[in-house]
This record gives sequence, C-alpha cells and structure tokens, in this order.
Amino acid sequence: MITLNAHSIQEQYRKSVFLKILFIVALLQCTVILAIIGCGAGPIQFEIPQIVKALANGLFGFSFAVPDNAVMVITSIRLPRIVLAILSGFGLSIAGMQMQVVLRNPLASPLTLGVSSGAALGAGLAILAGFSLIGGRYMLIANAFIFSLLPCVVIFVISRAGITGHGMLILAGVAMNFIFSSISTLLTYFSNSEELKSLSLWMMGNLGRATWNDIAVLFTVLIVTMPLLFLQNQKLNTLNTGDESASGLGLNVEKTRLTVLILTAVVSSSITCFTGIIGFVGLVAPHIVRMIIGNDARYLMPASGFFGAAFLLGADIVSVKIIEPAVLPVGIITSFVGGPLLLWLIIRKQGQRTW
Amino acid sequence: MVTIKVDGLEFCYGQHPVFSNVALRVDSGQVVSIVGRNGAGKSTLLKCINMILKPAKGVVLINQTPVASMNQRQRARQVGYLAQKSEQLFPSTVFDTVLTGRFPHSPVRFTQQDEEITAEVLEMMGLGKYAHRQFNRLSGGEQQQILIARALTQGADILLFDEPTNNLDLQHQLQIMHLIRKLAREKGIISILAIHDLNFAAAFSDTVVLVHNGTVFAHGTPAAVFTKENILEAFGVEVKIYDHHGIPHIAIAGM
Repeated sequence: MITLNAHSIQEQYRKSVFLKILFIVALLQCTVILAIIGCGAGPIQFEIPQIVKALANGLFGFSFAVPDNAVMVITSIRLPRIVLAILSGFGLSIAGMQMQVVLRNPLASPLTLGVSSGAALGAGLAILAGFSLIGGRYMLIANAFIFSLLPCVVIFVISRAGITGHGMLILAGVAMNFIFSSISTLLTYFSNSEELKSLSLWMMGNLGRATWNDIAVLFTVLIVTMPLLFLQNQKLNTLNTGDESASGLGLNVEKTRLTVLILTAVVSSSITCFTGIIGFVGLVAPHIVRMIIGNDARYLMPASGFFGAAFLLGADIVSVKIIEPAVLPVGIITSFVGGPLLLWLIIRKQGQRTW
Repeated sequence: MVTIKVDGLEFCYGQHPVFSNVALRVDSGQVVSIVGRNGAGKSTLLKCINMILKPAKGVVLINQTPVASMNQRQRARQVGYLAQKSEQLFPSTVFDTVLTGRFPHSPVRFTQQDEEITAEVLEMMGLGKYAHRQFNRLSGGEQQQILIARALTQGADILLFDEPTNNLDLQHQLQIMHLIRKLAREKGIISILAIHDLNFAAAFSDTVVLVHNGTVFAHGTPAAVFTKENILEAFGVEVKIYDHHGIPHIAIAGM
C-alpha cells in the first residue's frame, strides 16, 4: 500500500501498533487458558469448570461445590508448578530477547552466555563434591545462582578492561561455557551413579521442585528487574542500526549494554537455579515473536515474555501427559521442540514479513 | 542560524596522533567535504566533531557553546551522524527507524508528537511510500535517505556524513548529493562529509578540507584546494584539472 501524507502515514502506524497490542493480549489469554488446562493435567483428572471453581475456592475464598481433594491438589501441588512455568518462560524469554539486541547477536541467550553451564557447575559442586557457599536447604540453589552469575562477572570485567566489541563479549561467554563444562565433566568422571543421576536430573530442567517460597523469591526478583528492563526498550530500538548510529542519537551505548546484561543475568540466574537448565525458550521464543510483530522492543518485550510463558506451559503440559503417570523433565520437551523450530525458522527466514 | 567552529583539534589512537591542530569554521547552509587518503583520519575527524570519539585536545563550538560541555542527548538534538554502515541485525520498519530519531527528545517513551514529527518528515522527504516497509529491504540509496530523514527527525541542523556515497550507484550518489545541497539551501542545514570522490566533493561543496600528514594540508574553495600540486602531494597521483564553469574537474593524467 502506498501512503504519502503525514496523516495517513501516522494512521497506518497506529494501526500496526494496535495489532501488536492485540497480539500481546491474545498471548496473555493463551497463557491463562493453558494455565487452567495445566491445572487439569496429572494423575487425578478434573474437568475445566471444576478447575476454575477449585481455583476460586483456593485463591479467593469462594465456596463452590468441588470434589474433596480438588482444592488441595490444584492449589498446593499443580499451581506452584504452573506459576513457576509462567514466571520462568516469561523471564527467560525476555532475558534472551534483550541479550540478543544488546549483543547484536541472534544466538545470544542465557544458554550461550554461560549462565546455564555456570548454574550446572554450581549444582554439580553441591551434589557431587558437597561443596557449597551456603548450607542448608538452599545450598544447591544458592550455589547454582552464584556460579551462574560468574560468566556475567567475567563479561563485565572484560568490558571494563576496554574490550567492548559485542562479538568479543559473546566469545567470552562461549569460553566460559567450555571452562564450566569441562569442570562439570571432570566432576562427573569421579562421581558414583547415584550422584550422577541426581545431577543429570537437575540439569534436565524441571518445574516440579518449586515450593511457594521459591516462587515468592523468584517473583520478587522479576517484580524488581522487569520494570527496569522495560525502561531499556526504547534504548534497544536505537541500538538497532549499530553502535555508532546509536551514539549519534545520544545513547550511552556501553552503559545500556552493561545495564541490560547485568539485569538479564540476574533474571536468568534466578530462574535457572530453581528450575535447572531449560533450553531454547530464551533463544527461540523471541525469534518467533519477532517474526510476527517485528523488532520494536517496546512491544517485542511483553510479547516475547507471554509467548515464552505460554510455550513453557505447553511444554510442561506435554511433559506431564506424554507418559502418564511419569513426568518427563520439561527441559527435554523444550529442547526437542525448540531445536527443530529453530531450524525451521532459519530455513524460512528468507521472505519473512512482519507487521 | 547555526555556526560550528573547530579549533586546535587533536586526536590520538593510543600514543599515536591521527591528526592535530585542525581548525575549521562552518556557517549555516554550507556543505564541507573532508578529503584525504585512506587512514588520513577523515572519519575520525567527523566522529570527534560530535564526540563519538573523544579528542585529546582542542574545542568544537556550536553557536559558541562547547560541544564537550553538552550531554550526549543535547548534542544529538543538534548534530546528526550518518554512519558508514547501518545494516539492521533485526529488521525494523522505516517508520520505526526514523522514529528513533526522536530518542534525544523522548528517551523513555515516544509521544504522539514524536510520531507526528516522524510522519511529517517522511512526507516532506517524499518517503511516505516506504514508511511501513522493512529498512533492510530498501536499496542503499533509499536507506541513506531514510537515515537523513532520521537525522532531520532528530532536529539536527548539522549533519555529519561518513562516506555518504559509498556503495551507491551513480544515480543514487547524485540523488544523495543533491539532497544534501537542497537541505543546505532550503533549511540552512550544515553538512560535513567525509568523502572519497574528489569530483563530487568539488561539485557539491562550498569548502574542501584536505587532510594529510595528520593535519589540514589545504582548506578553502574546491578550486583553491584541488590543484595538481596538492593532489600529487596528498594522494601521490598525477592529475589534470579541468575547469568546468568554475568547478575543478579532476582527471587522472596520462589516461
């Protein structure tokens, strides 16, 4: 369509913005629907109306007639898992999206930058070597969190030393990945089969371990970091035509890059230490959304978040249902679906269109 | 009316000075070309003018105000910088690309007014038909026009061009150079260009600055700067200069 005068140019822009917002609302609805379906997935079957009533009873104090065990099963056992899936999918996807823009690299994600392998090493040290920085129930989680922040510290130090090319930073992430993986492999070499299983289960990514306390911690982290990340979106848009152009537009490029890297590292570390390694959500979800609504970070960020949440919820439902009554680790499903999806996106990338 | 003055400018990469003691004064509506060999510091000089690179010595004044005393966004409201490479990794629409020109005015959230200004600039430049197409899908010449539109959206009245005609075919090269002249004539916009093509520099600039051996080797009207002797000294090439209605035309000697 050919638009020529200012009014119609702006009109059409408003229309595209409206479509983007509509898409975000649709994703939000999808997430809610999947969450309700997810509450029904498990050894004891419930109908959707029963689920809604049980949730209303359990969360808002209504007193609808529901089967005896429904409220307990749904709000204490299934809901924490569902909420963790939503928070993790939301956070990982947004972290991946912002990392990709600030590092100007479509392969950037919590996985590529070494966050996940850092967490795995932390968990490995706790499980296999009994080494931990903090004791008690949170020993493994704290260890995973601290070690997953290590690559970010290294990247921070490197960029402080003046090596700030984004290619260099991602290479530093790759290097950290290798270092952590080799130490983890060394640990597993000397471990017994019990420990080995426990570590590999942790590494597969699992949403079932969450308690409401864990979720409260994670929720607090997201409530603090997400608004700060949202404030970066307009800056991310100016970064899109390159660092020098962005400087010319008045953006402090290095400060923006560091702010985003630190915040996304905290987000992805906090998630990974509770869930284990959940691959591909942070990498693939932003790309899929980008292909639909384009690259305006102001809309891409919430859309990626909700898409990631819906994606992880869907994967979790599959992981619960696929070989009932056993529950597969969700990380297996996300990687199994995410890998081919990424390949398909790469092949299809030619001829793409966005709104 | 805007004036930009550069005085005693020096820039070093590490200990090694790229250029020193550069002085320049440009008034409203003038087009200035910086020419010189590869590595002579043309682009560096350009980046020093709006402090993308920090000069070691010297001052740049816009209407008597030192550029160094402005913050980054204040600078960006006056000076637009058009980089040599501007490929987008993640494709944006032309409208979104031009809208980012409002960043120095609305760093947190673009307003309705920002959108209006963007649409008006696109209309004014006759780029409306591209508004909702992907920036990456346009030809080099079209992209260059879009980036000029963004600089105008920025509100800049000084534009710095790093190799504006690089990678463009002859028709688009001409189109961009005519646009630069038009903006100078109609809006009084100052354009400072780092450029390789000496004949374009001669035909479209009021002033030419020849950078050589780390300093301004010659400075003045195209006819005054583009002499056989200056070009032999700066580029090591023998040329013949033809006069074409007062504009020097440079041809390689013996060809």
